[in-house]
Amino acid sequence: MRFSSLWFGVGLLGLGLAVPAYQQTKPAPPLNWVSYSKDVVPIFKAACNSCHAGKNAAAGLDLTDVAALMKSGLIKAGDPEKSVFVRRIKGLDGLPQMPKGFKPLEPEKLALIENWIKYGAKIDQNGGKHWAYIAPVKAAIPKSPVVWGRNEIDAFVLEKMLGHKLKPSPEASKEVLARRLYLDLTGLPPTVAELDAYLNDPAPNAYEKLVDQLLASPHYGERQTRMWLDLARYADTNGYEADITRTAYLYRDWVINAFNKNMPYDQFSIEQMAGDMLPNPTPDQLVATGFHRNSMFNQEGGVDPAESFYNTVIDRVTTTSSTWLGSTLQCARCHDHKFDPFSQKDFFKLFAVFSNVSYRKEGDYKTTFSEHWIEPVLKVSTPDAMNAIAEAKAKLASMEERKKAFAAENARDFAKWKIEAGLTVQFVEPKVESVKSAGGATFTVGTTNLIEASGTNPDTDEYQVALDLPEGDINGIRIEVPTDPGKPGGRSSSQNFVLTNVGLTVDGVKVAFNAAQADFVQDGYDIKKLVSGDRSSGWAIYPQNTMNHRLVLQTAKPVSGKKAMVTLGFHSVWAGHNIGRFRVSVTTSDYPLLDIVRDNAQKLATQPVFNEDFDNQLHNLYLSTSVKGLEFGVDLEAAKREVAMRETGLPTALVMADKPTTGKLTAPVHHRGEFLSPGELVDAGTPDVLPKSETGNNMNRLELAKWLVNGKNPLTARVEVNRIWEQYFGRGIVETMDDFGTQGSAPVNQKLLDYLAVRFVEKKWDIKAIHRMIVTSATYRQSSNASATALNIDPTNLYLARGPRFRMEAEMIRDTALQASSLLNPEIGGPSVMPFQPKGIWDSPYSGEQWMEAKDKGRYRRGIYVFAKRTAMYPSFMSFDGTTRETCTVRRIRTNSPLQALALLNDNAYLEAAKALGAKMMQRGSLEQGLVYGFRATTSRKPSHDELAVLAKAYAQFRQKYFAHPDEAKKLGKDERDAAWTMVGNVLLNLDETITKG
Amino acid sequence: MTEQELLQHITRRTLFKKVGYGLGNVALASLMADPALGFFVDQQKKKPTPKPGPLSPKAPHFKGKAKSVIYLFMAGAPSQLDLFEPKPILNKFDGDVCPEEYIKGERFAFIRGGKPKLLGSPHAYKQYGQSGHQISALLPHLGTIADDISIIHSMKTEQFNHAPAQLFMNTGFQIPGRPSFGSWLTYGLGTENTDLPGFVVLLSGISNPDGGKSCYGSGFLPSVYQGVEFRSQGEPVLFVDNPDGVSSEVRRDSLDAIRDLNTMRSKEVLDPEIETRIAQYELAYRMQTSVPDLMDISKESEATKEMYGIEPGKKSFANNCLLARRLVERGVRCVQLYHRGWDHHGDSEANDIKHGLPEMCRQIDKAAVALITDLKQRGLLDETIVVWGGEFGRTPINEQRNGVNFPGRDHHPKAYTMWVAGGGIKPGVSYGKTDDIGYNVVENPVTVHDLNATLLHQLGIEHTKLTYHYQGRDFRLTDVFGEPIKDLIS
Repeated sequence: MRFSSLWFGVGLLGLGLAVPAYQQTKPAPPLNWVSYSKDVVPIFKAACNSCHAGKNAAAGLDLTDVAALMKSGLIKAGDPEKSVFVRRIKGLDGLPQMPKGFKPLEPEKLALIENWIKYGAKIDQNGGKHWAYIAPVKAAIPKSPVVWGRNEIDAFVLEKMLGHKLKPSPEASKEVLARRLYLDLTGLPPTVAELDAYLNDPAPNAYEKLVDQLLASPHYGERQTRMWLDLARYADTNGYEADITRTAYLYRDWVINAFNKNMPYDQFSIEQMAGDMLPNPTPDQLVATGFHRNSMFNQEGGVDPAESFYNTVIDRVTTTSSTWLGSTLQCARCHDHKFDPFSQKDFFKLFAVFSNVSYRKEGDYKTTFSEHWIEPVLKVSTPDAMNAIAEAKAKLASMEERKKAFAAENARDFAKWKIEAGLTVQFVEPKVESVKSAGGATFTVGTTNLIEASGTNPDTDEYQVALDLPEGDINGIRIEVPTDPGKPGGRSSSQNFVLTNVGLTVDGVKVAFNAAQADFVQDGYDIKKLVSGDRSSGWAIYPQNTMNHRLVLQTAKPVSGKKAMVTLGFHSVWAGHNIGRFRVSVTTSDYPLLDIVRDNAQKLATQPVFNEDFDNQLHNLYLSTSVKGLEFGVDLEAAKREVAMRETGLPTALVMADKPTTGKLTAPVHHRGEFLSPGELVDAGTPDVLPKSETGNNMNRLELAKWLVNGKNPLTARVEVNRIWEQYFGRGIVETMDDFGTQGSAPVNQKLLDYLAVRFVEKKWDIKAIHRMIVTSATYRQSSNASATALNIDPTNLYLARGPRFRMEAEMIRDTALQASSLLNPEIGGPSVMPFQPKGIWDSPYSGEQWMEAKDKGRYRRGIYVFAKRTAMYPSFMSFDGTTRETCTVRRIRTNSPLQALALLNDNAYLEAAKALGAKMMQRGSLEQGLVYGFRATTSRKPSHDELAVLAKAYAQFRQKYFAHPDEAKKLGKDERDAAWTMVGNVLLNLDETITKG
Repeated sequence: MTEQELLQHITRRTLFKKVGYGLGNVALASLMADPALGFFVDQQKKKPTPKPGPLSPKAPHFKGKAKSVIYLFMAGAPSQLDLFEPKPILNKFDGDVCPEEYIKGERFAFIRGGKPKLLGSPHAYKQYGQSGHQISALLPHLGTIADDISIIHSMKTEQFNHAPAQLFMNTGFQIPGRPSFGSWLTYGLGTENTDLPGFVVLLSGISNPDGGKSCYGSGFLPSVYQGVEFRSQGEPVLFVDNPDGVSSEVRRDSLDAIRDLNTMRSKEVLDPEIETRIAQYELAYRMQTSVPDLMDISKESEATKEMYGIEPGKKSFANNCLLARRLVERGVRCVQLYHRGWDHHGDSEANDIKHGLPEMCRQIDKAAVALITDLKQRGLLDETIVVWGGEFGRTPINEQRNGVNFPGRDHHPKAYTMWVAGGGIKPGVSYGKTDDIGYNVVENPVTVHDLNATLLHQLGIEHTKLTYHYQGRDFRLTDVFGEPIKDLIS
């Protein structure tokens, strides 16, 4: 009590200072004004419902069911004294006082309940139904004695402010507003030039012009997409153990485009939910259905595909309900919702809607260890891509024509080759003088020249095999890797190996190779790299790990000598993938590569009569195994590769498709939500508490989508405008954006929320119109500087008596650094990119996929394009509360941690930005001009005199230290000044203001 | 000056001066210290000071015995039948067809149809100490501390594939997206040393855990609670090292400039977040010293290094065990080690229980035991729980995938073994029993939720009360299940 009087004192004083006009306090409501839904239900929620709610409510008393409560006899309307309900709360009749085990109800609250009963225990017109399940209506625009505001939003906000003894803040300065608007509408801060253009625009409607300009910017779509991708749980990998790459970016690009085109929200929703079920869907409408193909996909061996699919459908139901209904329907997977009016049947009615998806089976769970249900993938062809394919094919056709002529031109070589092809290629095994391992493995050389490694198996290794060469011209060497039962060829636990380089010196002179062939090469490995000396790939053998293999390398020129040294290197990312058993041999044959194809070659070469097919095959063999053929073959292969690349290069999209069906879709309700406990069947449908679909058609995905956006559903529009609101103010009007149910927070300003929602539907779901309305409101344009009074009354700015101020989201921080440093590559759309990330972030079992850092301007793309691997998300995004995209996330929490500081200070991506910003500042000529430029580039405003002084002092300190240690300076920049400027850039990029939208 | 302007120009200082005149100092102090305002006001400096950080120590529900946890997670799932579960009957019927009643209607990861055969253990057992624990000859060191550990023979899980099972063990749910054990701990208790992350993850073995970073992610909890990986190569904590060419003096200068500029801004806009950020930058700076200090094991005695069998510069379990001790010594709340490679299906000789399993045991036995011994010597074992185990067990049936003939076992969720030590857990207890062939639990089953409830209990947390409200309901680590195991709680 003492506290509240104090509070009152401060409040009065504050008011006395600032706004004497608002001193009148709200009159206390007369006693008979107790509202069931606004006064009584909140008391139940806070004090009673933890026990008395839902099906298993204590004593069978479910206070969320008002009809049951009225019938229970506990309440005698008009007579609180005789109502058992009140008597129990008072602890009368010798029974335990309610709420049992908790603090007794405060006297004011008890008084409210007593008064409610005394005046008839009336249920208000909505029957106590939770506000969110009642259709929104437009309230009258509040009238106020205070003249303030630019549109309807402000009238509603002002009413709340005044109710809490707050008053609006003045409009923010022009530069602050420019920054806010750029960040909100495009996700990028203004460049210094853009800032100046706006500040120098004298037009009275300069602000509105800027709004139009930014809403029309293609970056607007990128900005909106960032938020939507969290809902869509968009990622570039499948998730779970293997977490293999998928191609999904066309969906992401579809979202960007849809926002940029200002596709109405109803169409936007229908196309994503069920574009495939629209009549004659366009490729774009199919790509849109990628929304629900973003579910994770478990490819681990031994997974039950039916269970995996069950989880996928659950994910789709959950995501749909979170995204469009702002409801926590997933609670009803296992049991009827404890707090909200959703039954377990409701959940499985929606489950049925999604259960008819078409897929093909890969593998067989019953007989093998892996079966996966693969949903459709669409190749998306663009006219440009089709032209390129036709061109490449034409080139290949002409090469094929030349092929026969080529054999004729080289008739002598071809004839010689044919003779050799009919024979076995003779390889001899030279005497092995010694074998050494750089990593400390030990070797034994068997009688058949078989070399076996033992002892330590280092992560990487290099073997050196010294040989006594036989006489004659050597044209090739062969590495055989034999396996015997229990004696694998590879030393890793999987028995695979990765040979990354092969070297040959003869009498100390290095010998080059010009071709390599192996009997088998693991998918994704390229043995041509053994010829070029590039260690990034090589020879590996999965899944044929337990079979014999051989590799032949052809020398570029015949070579002879006495001593040879063969080097075998194992330098892949795969630790311990060294060869354990091998044999080295050499040949003087002119066609060593024939060894690899010997069986086939012999059969063909000894064929008495050539028919066209044999002839063709023989030509191909000649091309792949002879020196002359290889030269031609390189071009031919390149032409083939070009065609293949153009064809496979057609981007794919993950799309939805339903199996044909005539009847109703059904699904079993699963007991406790468990996959193995299917029970009673229910028909596809929508939750009972919400208005029914009006089309009368059988419920399916398309019908569900139409129902979500038919304008009758009380949730969809509110949920979307609330999310949009949150982007601007850092908090939704309903703070729990993910939960509009009874456990969520109540709207801070329901009249405003409902006004916006109704207007959204009236204006035909025009998304940009809502954005425009918000950013042109006076509420939005307020200064975010808190007055002490406002901070005391409303520390978290619930009532918006000041502008929003909060830390940017992860991607925006990256984009801001790129923009401020002029590094930004503003390209829109396309495959995801891999900017700098520290080594060793990607290391998943069973997948050799690697982060291939972009060396070109791809590394400076915006945050939404950064490759999203679910099990190893981009680390600096994770520090700043990015999501893992495993499931639909409606709301990011904002934290403030030292790991964020370390990322901004030291992550190479931010250091690069600091260098580029430093260089820009240095170019400005004078220290002051440089500092002002940098400060404006990062914070969008001019520094004060004091701020400039701090920066100048810092620059002087850096400069002095770098001149004292030029070696240190060289590590950071071109010279001492460059290094010092880089550090100033680093300071600026780390300012609270730089990463804050205020 | 109009009132409008007056309001605009009013500073915190003048406001509090006026308030101060009106109310008297005592009242003012109590108002200023009100945490409901979201920050504390330091009366001297007249500016908001940061809120206690999300990782500041918090009081447990009741006084717990343990302060921290070291979780030795054997990813891939070690074979309980070859390490902790001597089964003479299984050995006797080695090679015979497994009785139908066990496997009827069972789903296995890799065993398919036909008549799978029982597989006895080729490894000998020995009985140790007062406790009489029977431990495989593959773990000779563990035998020497048998009386310090309690063995749970009756673990059960619901998942039989690696990724979902690891997630289930670590987060209480089989699909990625829930907070992990360590995240719940730091969320509930904070950490004792804010110069280091509260929840540290150390990786070794043939690869990372199958469940990926979600095994130690924060799920829907704020990301400050996620497990921070200490890396064995490169910088130990991501971004903790200054870039090349930035000395610690230059870094200090730059942090001073950042602080000064942020302070100016704070006075202007009065946003308590700025003060928090200033504090976090200072913390980051201290981490730049405390992390290398932690990683520097040169001051450890030779005897200690020898006891663990550390391998300098390598990604090794032994190194990680020593680091784990150094971490809890410094007040880190939860340290989780993952050592992947126990998946001995017998699909090849190298990956069978005769060759592959002994090698894995060799990699962990000495170091895990050294950790217990070392903690005990330093008086830390009483307040540190050490947990050892994998995501499920392995079948008493020989898998013989593709007809190969190496002894190996498939995934088995119905019964497996874990051990726990320290942190006030009763030592030397042998808890729970399985049937003659170790297929099913027959006595005192322990679910993953029970285990987690037990561990939380030792830390002073009532597992039903450690909750986080998300998407409409209160979530907890133990979902809606779990009972602490009374027989293990002293």
